[in-house]
Amino acid sequence: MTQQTMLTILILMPIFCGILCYLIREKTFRSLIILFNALLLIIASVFLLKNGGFEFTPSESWNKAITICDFAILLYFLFIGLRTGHVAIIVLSLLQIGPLAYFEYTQGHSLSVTPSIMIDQTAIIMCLIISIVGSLTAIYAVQYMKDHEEHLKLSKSRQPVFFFFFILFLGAMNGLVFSNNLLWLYFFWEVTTLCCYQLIRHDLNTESKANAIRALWMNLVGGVGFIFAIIFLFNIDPNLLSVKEIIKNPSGAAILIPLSLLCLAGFTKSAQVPFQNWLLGAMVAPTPVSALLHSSTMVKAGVYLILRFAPAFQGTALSKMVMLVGAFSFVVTAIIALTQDNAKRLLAYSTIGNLGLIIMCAGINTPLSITAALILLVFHAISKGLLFMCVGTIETFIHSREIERMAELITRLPLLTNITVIGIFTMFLAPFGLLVGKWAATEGLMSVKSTSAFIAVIMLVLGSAATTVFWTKYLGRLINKPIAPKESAPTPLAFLYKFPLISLVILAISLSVLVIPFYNAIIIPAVKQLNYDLILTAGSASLFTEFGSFATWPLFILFGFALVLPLLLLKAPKESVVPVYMCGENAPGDDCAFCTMADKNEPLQTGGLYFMDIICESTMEKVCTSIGVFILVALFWIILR
Amino acid sequence: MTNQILIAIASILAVPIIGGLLRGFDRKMTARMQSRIGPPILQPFYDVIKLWNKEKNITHKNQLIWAYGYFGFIITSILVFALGRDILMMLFVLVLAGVCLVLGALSIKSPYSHLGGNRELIQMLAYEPMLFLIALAVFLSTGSFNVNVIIASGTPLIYSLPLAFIAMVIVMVIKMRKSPFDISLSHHAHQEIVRGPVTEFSGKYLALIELAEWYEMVLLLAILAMFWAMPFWAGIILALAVYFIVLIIDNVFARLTWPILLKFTWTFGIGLVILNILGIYLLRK
Repeated sequence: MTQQTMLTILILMPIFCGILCYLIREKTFRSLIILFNALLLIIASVFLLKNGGFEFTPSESWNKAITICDFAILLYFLFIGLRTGHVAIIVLSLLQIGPLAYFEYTQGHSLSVTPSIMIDQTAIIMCLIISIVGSLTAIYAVQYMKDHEEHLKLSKSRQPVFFFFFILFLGAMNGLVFSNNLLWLYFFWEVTTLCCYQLIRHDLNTESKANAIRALWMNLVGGVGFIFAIIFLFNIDPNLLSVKEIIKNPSGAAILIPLSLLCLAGFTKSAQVPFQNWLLGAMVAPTPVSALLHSSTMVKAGVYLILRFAPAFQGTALSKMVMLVGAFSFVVTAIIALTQDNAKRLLAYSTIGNLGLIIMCAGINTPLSITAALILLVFHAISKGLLFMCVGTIETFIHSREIERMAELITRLPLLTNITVIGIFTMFLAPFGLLVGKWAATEGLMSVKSTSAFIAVIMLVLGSAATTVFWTKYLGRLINKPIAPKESAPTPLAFLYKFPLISLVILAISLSVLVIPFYNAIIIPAVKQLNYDLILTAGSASLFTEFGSFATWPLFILFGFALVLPLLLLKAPKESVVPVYMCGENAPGDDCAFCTMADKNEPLQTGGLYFMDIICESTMEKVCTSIGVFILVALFWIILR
Repeated sequence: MTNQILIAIASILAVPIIGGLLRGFDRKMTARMQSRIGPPILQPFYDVIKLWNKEKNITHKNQLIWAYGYFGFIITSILVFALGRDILMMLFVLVLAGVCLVLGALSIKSPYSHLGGNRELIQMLAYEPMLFLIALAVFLSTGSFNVNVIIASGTPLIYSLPLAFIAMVIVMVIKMRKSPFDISLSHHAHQEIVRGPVTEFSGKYLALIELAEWYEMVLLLAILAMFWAMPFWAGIILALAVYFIVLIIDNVFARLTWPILLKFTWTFGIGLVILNILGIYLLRK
């Protein structure tokens, strides 16, 4: 495959296929296009990994086309603002149109940045995440949207629009991670904002419309930051419109202002405190959208931007503030998540927390922490994509997102529940990949000796404890079995559900087992290309830092001995199964009921603990939003001083 | 390599013997403090053997997997420690073991088991941040997460980490399920007959959990001993002294409620370690 074909497939084909999905109203044909697109994306991304990165500059006319499209999108945002009468959107889109028009009019027309496209190992990792996890989500969406619309009993299908934006999103994300020209990057950035807005409001009810508007204005804040950063950078040095140049020669304090504006854009997109609200509101969208936003696209764009520019602000005050914003987001979301009994909101909070962890690593800005950030990035995408799809599938069966209602699911949907359990295991337990990242993050943080690192490490530890508790609580609900299981056949799972779920489970487990070869082959080149020395070294069975080690596959062998072998070998003879102990209050003839007043049978109920009387979600939210705003103000105050 | 295998096998075999003897000593001492004669020192071993040969009653198969998981991961964390590997990794595995115990309790639709499981989670929320912060404090003091480097570092850790050591004693009280913080299940049957997360386990599987608790107790004592690792015997005396203090605490206090546990550990307990870490930072500068 030549470089040009690869780029065409990864960026332009999804856009083309999206348009086809919009035009073709025939369901089967549309599904085939989606499958074809997914397959080709996966193949092309693997080819890209095999062939390695490259630089590319297409003809000059592309610059013009992108500028025109840029204005079209911004004017559309302005139109939305005018139609809904939302002042913030009007102001924020004008704040982008004005500067962009000024910039294009005065300098932009004579501008050319070479190369326009630069693909390095970090971009390849992102492309793999987008193309593989994103495509699997698209396949999943085919079945989900069918069930979703049947459940809603829609007279007119909105799937053409849905899949147009869904597939377009993948292409825009690939464009975003490949762009070297900041103006191109900005364009794709706005396209993802647009797609996100459209996908959130897909169901067109009052709540989804309101939440889509909120997502839009918060992301436009980032867009404003972005365009001002571009103008700032241009005024310092016209060459700095190239990502490559920014990373290569950090020109000291002057460049910090635009860089902090870019970090602000990154915070909005990856929903860091105080912008966490939009991602939680995005939960009203159909589940494949959540899976897409949380695992492979949208939020990863923000993280990518910060990671990408991390080498440029190494050792500055900005770096410390980025670390604190990430650590703070991690701890507050973990604590709020303790109170959640809505599975999707729980997952959303955990996403913000994990992104906080990655951003914290970017802020620590040492070779070890950047390594940790990349490991976390990959494993989080896989695990979170998997978990969202699991919850979505569960929802199509029980029509609820409440964790309490997922009790006893293991008898009804054994395969799906087991996949969900594995998914949660990969999120926070040893020896899975995400924890390898957390381990490296902790050791990276400890090797920095500063007051801000001290504050961040305390937040990290407190957040980790809360994380363990909320995930375990959720797991406990899922594996909860009724005393007398009904002898009914388990509900079968549709193939288009099974395929992406099982692929992701296999990916999560095999990458965790083979984390050392994965690290050697994929992460190491990325860290080196970002101009960091290598500190995490890989042995045959362990990863080593200069002061610690993490055994990988030996732990998996023990894992197998402790959990999988008993699961396969244990036989429980029928006669040894006894009812549970209820302190002598069992109702006669019913093992699942207490005997209460007037000999009535009161059914036995069990439930989780949600700390509602200790932690109040709405108060916590307000407090952490204001602290978040305070941190941001402090950030700009320190930089501008 | 063969050396390491020998250490691993030795620790797996020796640890339950030490643990059982300590448990026997515990019961004897507690009885004496309450003016009873108490069982023989070897009683815990008789108990486990008796349990092992009992009829195997279960409510369903899944709960057993978690019992094996609890046992298996505790041993894994012992191995990580005995082989002198990363102390953070040891804690991660220990957390995994704790999660297995909770899942064993929650996998059954049983009121007492659920109560115990949820309370066990609260205990994890209470001691986990303390344990991690202690590990980080140890790192700041020695410059390494590897147990063998920490042990070989010379000057006793307790000089630089006195407050972290006190926090470790608190963790010990919670982990050994001693009053005042035995909220999920009490080690002694004198407070309850229905025993929280292990309510639904019986026979061989209860024995397995009991054994795992012995392993875990010795592991925690070994962490305490690490605070005075050179010379070897000083650490052992230190650990045994703490063990004795924990027994006295157990017999002096009554059980407290879980909100008090959370408030106590998240302010006083965590505060102690943070102060200690802060001290190290300030003295460095």
